[in-house]
Amino acid sequence: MQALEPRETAELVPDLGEERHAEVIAALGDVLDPELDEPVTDMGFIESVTLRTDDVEVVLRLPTYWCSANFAFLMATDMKAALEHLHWVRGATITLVDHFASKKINQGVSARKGFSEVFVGEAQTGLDDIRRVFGQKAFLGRQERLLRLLAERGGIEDALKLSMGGLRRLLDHDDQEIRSLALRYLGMRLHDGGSVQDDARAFTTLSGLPVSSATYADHLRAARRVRSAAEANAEMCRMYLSARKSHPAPGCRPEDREQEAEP
Amino acid sequence: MYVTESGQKVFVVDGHIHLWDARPENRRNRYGLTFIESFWGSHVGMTPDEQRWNFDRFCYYGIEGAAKDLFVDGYVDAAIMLPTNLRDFYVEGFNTIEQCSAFKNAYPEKVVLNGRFDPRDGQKGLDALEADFEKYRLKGVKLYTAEWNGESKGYTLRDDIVAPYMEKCLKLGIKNVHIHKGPTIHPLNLDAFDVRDVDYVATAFPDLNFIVDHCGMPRIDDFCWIAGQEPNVYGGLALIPSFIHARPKYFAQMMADLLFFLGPDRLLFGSDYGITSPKWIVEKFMAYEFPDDMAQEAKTQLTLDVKRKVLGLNAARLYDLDVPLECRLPSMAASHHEDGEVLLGQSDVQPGGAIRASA
Repeated sequence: MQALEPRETAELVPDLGEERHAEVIAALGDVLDPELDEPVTDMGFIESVTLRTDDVEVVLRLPTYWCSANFAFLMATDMKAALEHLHWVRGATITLVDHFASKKINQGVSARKGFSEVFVGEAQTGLDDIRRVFGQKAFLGRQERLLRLLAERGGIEDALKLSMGGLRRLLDHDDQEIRSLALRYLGMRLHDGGSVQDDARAFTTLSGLPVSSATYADHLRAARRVRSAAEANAEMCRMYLSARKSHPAPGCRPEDREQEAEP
Repeated sequence: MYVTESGQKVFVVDGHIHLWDARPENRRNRYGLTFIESFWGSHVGMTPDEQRWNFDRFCYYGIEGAAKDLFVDGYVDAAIMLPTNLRDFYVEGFNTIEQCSAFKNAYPEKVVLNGRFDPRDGQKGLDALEADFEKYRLKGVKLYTAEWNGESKGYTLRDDIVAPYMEKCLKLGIKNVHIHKGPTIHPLNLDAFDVRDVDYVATAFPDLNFIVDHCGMPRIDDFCWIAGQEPNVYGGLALIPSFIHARPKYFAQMMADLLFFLGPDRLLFGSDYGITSPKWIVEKFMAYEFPDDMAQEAKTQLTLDVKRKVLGLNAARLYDLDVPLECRLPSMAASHHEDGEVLLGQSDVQPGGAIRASA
């Protein structure tokens, strides 16, 4: 996770500044880039966090000026909601910078509007559809990571027999890697893949069929394709963002921002 | 032409190049700056340090710069130009067919000049395509389905307006249709990310070749699924080989999937010049071998023959380019159909109805 220095800590309650900053970062750590299924904090998208007595401002900067507006909108909306869950936060402002749709997105998110209201006539797909499609991809990607690791440790046959109860018990496993992958998969498995009763199978297709030893090779392969496409995208985003920070184009540095004028 | 240490000659076609003008005097507005800034991030992120340009050169390298980077340093025997207008951002356009034709005129034997059309332009667009064909003898066109046009914020290849253009291409003998399905570029539909429409048009027009540029990335998983089913769909690799320096592991995973689904005969190398130069990519690609697990996933190693097909022979076939005898594969004509069937015979079960529908 990127280290972020608080810009301004709570003036009236200086002792709380550090603690609250950590809470903000933790809350943002639960917000995922829906396309990449990775936390916005891990991706380095948070440029700064500013704390005041009971509100917080977060500056969001993406890898390019032309990153998809729909994903930017989703992340900004989710960030605002995550921060407003903190008991001491009365209001959270998300400011997307250096982006072609920043004005619309910032105003829309601040006014709690929907994407299609903000981009009237420009967007044909609702964000719920996009969330659903990428939620399904995340289901497969997370499942593939956990299943592959369990198969390496104890063989594929045993891994496939894992029940939902067993999956829940993995959250207390000694191995930190297994705990973390199990938690991530469980988060998606509770929404997709059929019954979530303790005796139901943990590794299922999206439609709820158990993955069997006859089908797992094909299934794993297809799931890996989905996962590796998302990972390659995430790496591309990281490369672009890191370049944007290390080699800014003349006229596109943070100090050039006020020139921003939408034609 | 690239020559291996043992003296084997490899014919190189860069299937995806531009000659753009993003100099300050050609920028119409701030979009003109931020558009090239996004490309600059790609250049910096993917190019080895010692091969990196400065920003001014990146904005404009001109005919001489391109000729040096491609034909002198970059091993390129033929380069396919894909025009992009973007007149809303750039006074004279970014990389229009007129701008590209200057490069074609300077190197007529080495440059393949493609055209463009927008099916939303109706009869006027059809007439313009025919006029461009008469003028440039086009063998291919480039489409941006996500481009804005008046009120429209994009179209799909399923739309009724598309078929007359495909019929016109068939009639004129323009058999290669490149479709930009890659990282979003503006002007674009804010939610354009679908590759399903390629499936539709490829089935409807089996005698045309559809080259999906950037292999649908960032939806390469969806693209693989579609392309696996359509023999006239090709992967325009541009962007994917550029991972080979900064992220070789991801390069390998993407190539393995593409080889598994499309086979070695339907992938076309491209450097996406001037995002970066072909020189270092060709060198690294020629030196690259899959680790064993990736070769298993791909159902093939990156053998010299596979590299030859991907780097040049496949594009040469689509564009009827003359390949020197010493660069040809004796077995090419005979084996190419078989490979495709073997590869497609590998079952790859889609894990659920919903993802399949989204593919």
